[in-house]
Amino acid sequence: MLYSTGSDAIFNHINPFTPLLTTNYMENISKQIYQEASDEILIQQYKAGSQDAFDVLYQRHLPGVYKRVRCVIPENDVEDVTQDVFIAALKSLSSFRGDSQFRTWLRTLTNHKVAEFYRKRTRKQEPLLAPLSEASGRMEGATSQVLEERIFIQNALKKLPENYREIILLRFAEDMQFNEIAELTHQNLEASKSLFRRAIAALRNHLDE
Amino acid sequence: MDQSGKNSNLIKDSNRLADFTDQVLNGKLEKVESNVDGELLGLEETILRLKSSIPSTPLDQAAIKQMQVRLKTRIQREAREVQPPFWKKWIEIISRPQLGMAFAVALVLVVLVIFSPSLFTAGPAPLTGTALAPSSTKNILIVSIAAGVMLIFFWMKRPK
Repeated sequence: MLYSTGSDAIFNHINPFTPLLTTNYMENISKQIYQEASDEILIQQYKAGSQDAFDVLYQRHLPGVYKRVRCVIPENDVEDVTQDVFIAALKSLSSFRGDSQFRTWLRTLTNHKVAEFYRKRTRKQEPLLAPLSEASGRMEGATSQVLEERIFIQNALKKLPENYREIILLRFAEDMQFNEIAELTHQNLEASKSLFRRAIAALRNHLDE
Repeated sequence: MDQSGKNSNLIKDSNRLADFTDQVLNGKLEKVESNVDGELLGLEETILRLKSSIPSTPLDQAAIKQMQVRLKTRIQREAREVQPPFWKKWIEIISRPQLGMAFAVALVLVVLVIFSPSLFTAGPAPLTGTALAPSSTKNILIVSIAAGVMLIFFWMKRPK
C-alpha cells in the first residue's frame, strides 16, 4: 500500500452530516491530532489507510534520517538515499510489528540503504568521491576546503567497524546523549563512553593514514 | 603502571572525552583543552574536526515540505513505471463480465473437445458399449465439472 487514499479511521465516529465539518476542516483537525500522536498510533492509522499519518511520521523523522545520511553519503546523493529510506519504510511499514521503536527500525533501514548505496557504487565501479564542483553546487556557503574535509571524514567513517561508526553517528548525527546511547545499546554509561573513545581513536588512525 | 591503574586512566580519559564532546556539541568549546596532552589531545582534535565537518544546519519546515513533495512525485513516477505482473492483467481482463463470460464458454468448449471427441464426431458413428459405462460416466463428469466451474464463476461475479 503506497500512499493509498482512504478515510481516516480516527474520524469514523464523527457524524458525517455535521454541516460545519467541511473536508478541509476535517483534514486540518486530522493533521493537528496526528502531530501530537505517538509513532505507534500513527503507524496504526497508516495501516488503517491514512496517508496523513505517514506524512506526519515523515516530517517527524526526516531531519534525523537526513542528517545521518548526510554524514556518510556524498552530498549529491543525500536526498536520493533519504528518499530510498522512506520508500522502503512505506513498503514495509504494513509488516512493522512494533517489536522495536519506530526510530530504531528506521535507523536500521537507513544503515541498510547506505550500505546498499555503496554496494551499488562498487558494482558500477563509480568513483566513491563525487567531484567537488558537483557537490559545492548543492551546498551554498560551504568552502571547498570544508567539502574536502567532509569527504575525507566520510571515507574514514566508512572504514570503521559498525559499532564504532554507529556510536559516533548516534552522538553527532542524532544528538543523542551518552546516557541515551547507553540505554539504546543496553550498555552501562561507562562502557558507552569507553566505546566512544575507542571509536574516535580508530577514526583518528584512519584520518592519519 | 599496573593493569588496574591503566584501566582507571582509560576510564578517566573516556569520561573527559565524553564531557569534551558534550561541550563542543553544545557550542561551549571550540578548541582543545589546554590541560590535556598525549593521546587525549589527539582525540579532542578529532572531535573538533568531526564537529566542523558534519553539517549542523537543521532542515527547516520549507525544506521538509519540498522534500516531501519530491518524494511523492518519485513514488507516483515509480508506480507508473512499474508494469503490473501478467497474472494481474489477466485477472483484470477476465473480471469484465462480457469477457469473463466468453472466457468461461471458451474454456468449457476446449474441455469438451479435448475430453469427449465422440460429441463432435461427424456423421453417424457406431455406438458401442454399455449405458453408464466408464467412458460415458467420464463425459458426464467432465460436463458437470465445467458447468460447476461456470456456476461458481457467475456466483462470484454476481452483483453484491
